[in-house]
Parts: sequence; structure tokens; C-alpha cells
Amino acid sequence: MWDTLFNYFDSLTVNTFIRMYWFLFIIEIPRYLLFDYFILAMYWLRRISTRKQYKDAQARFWQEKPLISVLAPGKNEGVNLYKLVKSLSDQTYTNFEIIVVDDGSDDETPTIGRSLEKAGFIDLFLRNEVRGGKASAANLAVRYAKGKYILHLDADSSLDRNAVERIITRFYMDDRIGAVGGNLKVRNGQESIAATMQSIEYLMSISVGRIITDYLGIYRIISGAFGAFRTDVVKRLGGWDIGPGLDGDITMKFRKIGYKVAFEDRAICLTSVPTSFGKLAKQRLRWNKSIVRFRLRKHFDIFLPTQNFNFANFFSSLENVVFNIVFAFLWLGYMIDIIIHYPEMLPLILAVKFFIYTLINYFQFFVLLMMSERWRDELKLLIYIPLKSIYNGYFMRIVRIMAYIKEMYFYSSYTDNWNPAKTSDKALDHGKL
Amino acid sequence: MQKESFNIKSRFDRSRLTRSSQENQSQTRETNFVINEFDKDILVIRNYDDVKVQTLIAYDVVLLDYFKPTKASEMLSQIRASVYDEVYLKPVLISTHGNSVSPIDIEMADGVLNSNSIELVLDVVESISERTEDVLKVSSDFKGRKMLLKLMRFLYTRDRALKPIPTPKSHTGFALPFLDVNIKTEDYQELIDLLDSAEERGLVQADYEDSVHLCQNCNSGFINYRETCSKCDTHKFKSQHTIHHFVCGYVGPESDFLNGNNLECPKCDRQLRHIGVDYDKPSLVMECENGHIFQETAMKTFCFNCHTEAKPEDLITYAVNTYELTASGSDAAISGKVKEKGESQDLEGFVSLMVFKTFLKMEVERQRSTNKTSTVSYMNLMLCPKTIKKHQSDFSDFINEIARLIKSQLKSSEIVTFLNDEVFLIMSPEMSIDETSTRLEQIREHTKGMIRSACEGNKNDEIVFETFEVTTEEGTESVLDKINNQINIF
Repeated sequence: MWDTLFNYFDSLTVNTFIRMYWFLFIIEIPRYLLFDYFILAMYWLRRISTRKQYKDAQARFWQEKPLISVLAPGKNEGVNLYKLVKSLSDQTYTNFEIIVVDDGSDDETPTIGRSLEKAGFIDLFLRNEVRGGKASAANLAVRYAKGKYILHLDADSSLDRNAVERIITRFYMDDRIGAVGGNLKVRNGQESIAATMQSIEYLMSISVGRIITDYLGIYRIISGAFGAFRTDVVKRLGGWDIGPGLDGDITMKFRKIGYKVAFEDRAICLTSVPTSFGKLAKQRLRWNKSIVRFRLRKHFDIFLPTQNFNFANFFSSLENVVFNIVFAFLWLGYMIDIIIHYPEMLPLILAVKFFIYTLINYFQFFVLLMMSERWRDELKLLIYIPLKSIYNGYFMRIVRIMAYIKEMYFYSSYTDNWNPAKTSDKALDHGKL
Repeated sequence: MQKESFNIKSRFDRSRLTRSSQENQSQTRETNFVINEFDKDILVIRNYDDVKVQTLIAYDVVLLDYFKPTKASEMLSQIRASVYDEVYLKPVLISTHGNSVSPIDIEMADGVLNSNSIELVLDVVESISERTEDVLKVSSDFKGRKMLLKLMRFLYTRDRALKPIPTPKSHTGFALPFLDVNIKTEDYQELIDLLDSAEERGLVQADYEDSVHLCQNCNSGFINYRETCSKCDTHKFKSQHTIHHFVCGYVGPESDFLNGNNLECPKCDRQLRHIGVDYDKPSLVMECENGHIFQETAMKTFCFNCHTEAKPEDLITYAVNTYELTASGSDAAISGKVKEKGESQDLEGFVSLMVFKTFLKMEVERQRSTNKTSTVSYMNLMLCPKTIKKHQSDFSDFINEIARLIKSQLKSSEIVTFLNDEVFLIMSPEMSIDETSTRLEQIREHTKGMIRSACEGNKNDEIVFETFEVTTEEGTESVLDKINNQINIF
């Protein structure tokens, strides 16, 4: 075997090497290793240099002690509610009201919610008898929110003790910040291999990606699982629009009306992720369809030279479209090219790629562990790192490509039962909102 | 019955009674008169201002003309509330003259007629009369509350049950007409205790009819059930449907959308035209005067009578029963004798009422020669319902313990009798009213303290007493009458 490998590398010319591995060396390593980790280093330097400003912001926050409205809309989330309110009750910052909206649950959620409300764990429990979708549930909560800031949570999330304080403090760093995204980590990573791979993904790809975009001022998606918003702006916008993809949509709307959007990696929220690859694929199909639906359709005006044109917003959407959609199809072309032209070499190419990716992934992993507040727990992911290249490099890419094709040609997000048909139909009728 | 057999018979206040005839019907509309039918003197009352209740003893039957319902009801109540057996047991009929008769009056009367003839109820009247005669033959030494004996006699002579009547006129919502006219509204607890104890002693049998939920403070049944804010208990709130606009996902109360008669989305300005197509109403949201938002109301009660606000679970629930005399109750009604709970003649240091009276007579005689004043006092235990219920199983022992406690504080020269569960009579020789009152005050306070601390009593348990001077002029009966007027016990 070693002979074969030696002979293979010995026979490679520079041209053939580039021909076979151009996607790795021209796109992926520069973009996801060199660029990202350069920015990450800059980000850390900036954090050190702005330490005083952060402290001052923290002092202003504690001086003002604003009321925060914690919103947790959802369907059949009753079983998660106690865990949620328990983690909230243990926060370092406690001046908040909790509003839970039950979006037409058909389980014990109303009973659990009402009893928690009666016991004082929840300030307001609202139930919609008829399911209206996530946006409508969140909007009902917004309507009755009294806080200066809204903290939107998924009911199956739980927060680090200082998460509320940290995410809201970010608003006091810059008055132009309208919304702040929190840092999500996986709570149920040990439940299955699919969940474990997502733990690695959240740690190495999603968090890092958000840190980079935040540093560059093009952060574009505040997750509904843990995001903070200025209440007055959310109300001005009329809340969330119909999903799927409503998180990215409202973030874009904040940017469009001139507010900055920030990511606070020190505000940690643990969230539950799908535990099977089937469910994961379904979730990611939904997420990726929204890139087409919102970036290429609803907010396409970002790319147009209108009077509201803004470079940051332009690059924010452009980065998203290029690195997700364009690169996904580029990768597809690359793979087809390799399969057609080097079918006999394919196993070897894949093996070499796997080896290189794994080396890179271990490097990234250790760098991130040094930055992580719970590195001891995350160290357990060490043995799964080699799988990341398959998970990210193949599984996710295939899902992504399928999502783009489905949405581009079949508008399939409008038939996703994640949203009730009555709302999706209307969104489709009224100019594909 | 034939009209020609009517026979006018004058009795009391003859000048005001007139002959009944076809010719002077219009004149007699305001006049009382007596008719004799089936050998019974029937007083027909039309002018209620002209009648004194005690005078009704003279007639066999009283017929109330319902021409003036209010007056007739008042008279009926007065008759049934009378302290004289001969009066409250009197057969009383109502002549409707086309007026509708209140259910309470029907329950208290012995029959309702459309004319002045008693033919239709003759059997009833005779039965009542016979039974009343039986009762009156026996002089009662009933050792208990006179009210209970009165009730039993009433039921026995009518051979019927005491039925609860639902009526807004009753304090509780259910009237027990005969008892209600005898016991004041504020003593409703006494009424309940009376019936409970009668049932406990097997004198009446209770048959469940309904339940009432009464104010914990005043026993009123007139309770308003209010939906209130679950956060601040105010009942002033408004409820609104929320509207979900499908197109833009906006959700808010209906008022957010109202623009004149139209519904317009505040987020996207589109007009909402068709429920189910453009929008739906997924929930109902309430907002109280203090700005609290809620979907589930709390329930509070408000008493119309005393304005007490409470939770529904704080209301007192009572069973409303029909009470029927048992065989033992009938015996007690006739004989006037029944073994009372807590009867304590056997207790050491106490004398019977008869012996007490003898001592009192002797004391009056002694006073004549010594010229010194003496006093007779009553001391009435008024235990609150909680204490009574608590000691239900050992009530006799509990009462005897209190009796011993009181006795131990009296002087050896003082004579004391224990009339029943509640009342002691104390004769204090050679003591003035002031001296006795001061001592009894001390005894009362000490005993109340002991009931609370040593006998598992309640802070609401009360002891009342009053002292009367025994004078040689008035004699023994006079002082006892004075006491009886206060406590109506013997």
C-alpha cells in the first residue's frame, strides 16, 4: 500500500496535483483555514484591546438594569419548559419577564405552561388554540413584551449562568447595535453520532463562522434559539415574517433599516439538535432553502444599486450566496470532474483529501479548544474529528445542493409542513414573501 | 259545606267583627269576622292592623285573606313566631282570592283555599287540632332549647316534614320557613346547630335536597362569582380575540387591527377580508385595569350581604335537607321530654332546677329577716361551631369539664344548677349585683382562658352572663322570668 502511495505522489506533477486538489488548496484552505484563522486572531486581539470598553458597557448595563422580555414560542414544548425556566432562574441577571407562547400544542404543554405561570416561574403563558407557525407565536409574545430588549429562545434551550448578562451587555458597547446573536452549543451531543457531529460542527464551523462575519461586520443570521433584539425595533418591524428561515430574514431587516448586528461568542446557550441523520437532513434542507428564498428572492434588492445600497449588507448576502450556493455547485462540478477524469484514482484522491482535512481539522480543533470555556467537555470530541471531513465535506454539501435545487426550481419551502399551509400559501400568493 | 250553615260568633273585639254576607262583601273587605263552620270558629282576617296575635288563641282556625299578601305574610310569620304553643300551633289557612301565594307562606300555612270554606282541608284542620290538643295536655320540662321543642311540635301536629324552599328572600337562598321566622338571620349558625343536634340525637331525620355555598363571614347565600385577573385579583378586565394575519405573520389583539369598521393589518396595511382565508382568531387575551395580560381567569367570590371577597374554596358548604320527625322526635314533641346531650344533673356540686328554685325561695325568705341582698345570675356558654365540631365525639366530657371548672371558682355558699349544655344559674347569697358581676367577670375570663388553653377550645368561644338582684317584693318567679326572657331556656 505504502508503495502505491509513494508511486502515486512520485508520479504527480504540479499541474496534475493542482488539477486534482484545486478545490482544497485554492478554495477551502485559503478560505476556511488561512482567512478564518487570521480573522480569528484579529478578533482576539480586538477583544483584548476593547476590554475596557466592554467593562464600561457592563457597568452601564448594570446601572440601567433594563427589563428583558424572554420569549419562548413553540409547539409541544411543555416538557422542556421547566428546564428552561430553571436555567433562567439561575442567571446572574434576573430582571426579566418570561413569556411562553404555546402554538396550538396537542400535548400536555397547556397544562404544564399554566401551572408554571401559576407558580410564578413564567410571567405570561399565552396559548393559541390554532397553530399559526413559529413567527405568529413569536409575534404574539412580542405584542405583549414590556422589556427594553427581547431575548428569543427555543424552549429546548438552556443558558449558561451569565448568558443573559453577556448578550445584553453587547448592546451597551455600541448604540447602533439592534440585535445580538448568542453562541449555540450542543447539549445532547452524546445521544448519537449525528448529534456528536453537530457538536463538532457548532463548535468549529458555526461559531467560528459567526465570529468571522461579526468581525467583518457582515454577520447575517441571529439564531432564534438564542438571540437578543431591541424591542422597539422588533415592534417597528412588526415582528417576524413567515418562515422557514425567519431568523435570517429578521436579521437582514435589522441591517436594512440601519442597525448593526453583532455576535457574542461569550454568551453560551446549549440547544438540542436532531439525533438522527434523517432528521438532521430535514432540518438542514429547511435552513438551506431559506438562503435561496430570502437572499436571492425576498432580499435580492441588497444586490441592487438603489439609494439604500449598503456595502456591508451587500457583502453579507454576497458572502452567503458565494460560499454556500456557488461553492456548493463548484464542489459538485469538481467531484464530477474527478469522477469522470480520474475514476481509477478516486479512492486515493479521497483518501488523501481525508488525510489532509483531518490534519487541518485537528489543528482547528485544538485552537478552538484553547478558546473554549468548556474545553474539558469538548476534548471528548477528539476521536470524532476525522469524521468531520465526511460530515462537512460530503453529507452537508449534498444536503445543501439538494436544498438549493428544490427551492430554486420547486419553491419547496412553501410546502414545508414546518409552517401551517394557510400561512405558506398566502406567502406564496403574495409575491413569494 | 253549605253557606246557610255559616254562623256568626262574636268573640274578642266584637265591635270590629262583622257578619259575613253576600250583601256586605264590599264593606267587609277591610273588616275581620268570625264564621263557624263544621263547629269550628274561624277568624277571617282582612284587616291585619286590627289583630293582636295573642288573641288568636280564642279561635279554632285562622283564615288569612290574601288580599294584601304582604300583610298576610307578616301575620303568618307572627303567628308561627309566637312563644305560645296555642298560637304557633294554630291551624292557619290562606284564602287566595285569586292572588298567587308565596311558596314560603304555603309552607308555613296549613292550606290554601279559594274561598272562606274550610271543607276541602277539614281533615287537615281536625288532625292538627287533635294533635295540638295532645301536645298541650302535657306540660313540658324539656331540657333543651325551646326552639327545638317548638319545631318538633309544629312538625308533629302537621305530620309533615320541614322543607327547604329556594327563595331570594332567604339569607342563604333556601328558606326553612318555620325556623326562619323564629331565628334571626344573623343567628343562622344557631339554626344549623339546632338542626344538626336534632339529627344527631335522632329526633329528626335529614333527607338531602341540595347544597348551598355560603359566605364564610355572614352565611349569606347571595354570592357573586367573579372572574378575576389571575395576577392581581381585580375583576375589571377586558377580553379580546387575537388576530393572526396569515400573509405577514402579525399577531395582536383585535383592537390593533380595527380601523373604523374595517380590519387593517398594522404591520403590512393590508385589509383583512375573510376569516379563515386572510386571518384567524387563535386565542382570547384578557387585560386588566392594572395592565396584566392573562388568558385564564381566577375565580373569586363576593358576598352581596357583607361585601366579603374570598376564594370559592373558602365558602362554607352546607347540605340543605328536608327534616322529618322520627318516632323518637314525635314522642319528644308530645311528651316534651328528651335526654339532652351534655345534661349534667349528675355532676357533683350542681343541683337540679327544682332544687335551685327551692333554694331561691328559701333565700327570699331569709332576706326578709336579714335584710341583705342576694343575686341570681345566668352564665351562658356560647361555643363556636369549630369547638363544637372538634368535640363532637366527647362533647359531654368537654362540657362537664367546663362545668367543673366554673363550679371550682364559685364560693361554697353559692348554689348552681346546670340547665343544659349552655346555661348555668348561680345564686349568690348576701352579695350585691356589683360584687357578683365583678366576680363573674373574673370567672368568665379565667374560664375562657382555660377553655382555650386546657380544653382545646377556640378564641371565638364566648361566655355571657348577667346578674339580677333577688328582691323580697318580686319573689323567686320574677327573677327567673327575667332570666328566661333573656335566654328563653326554661
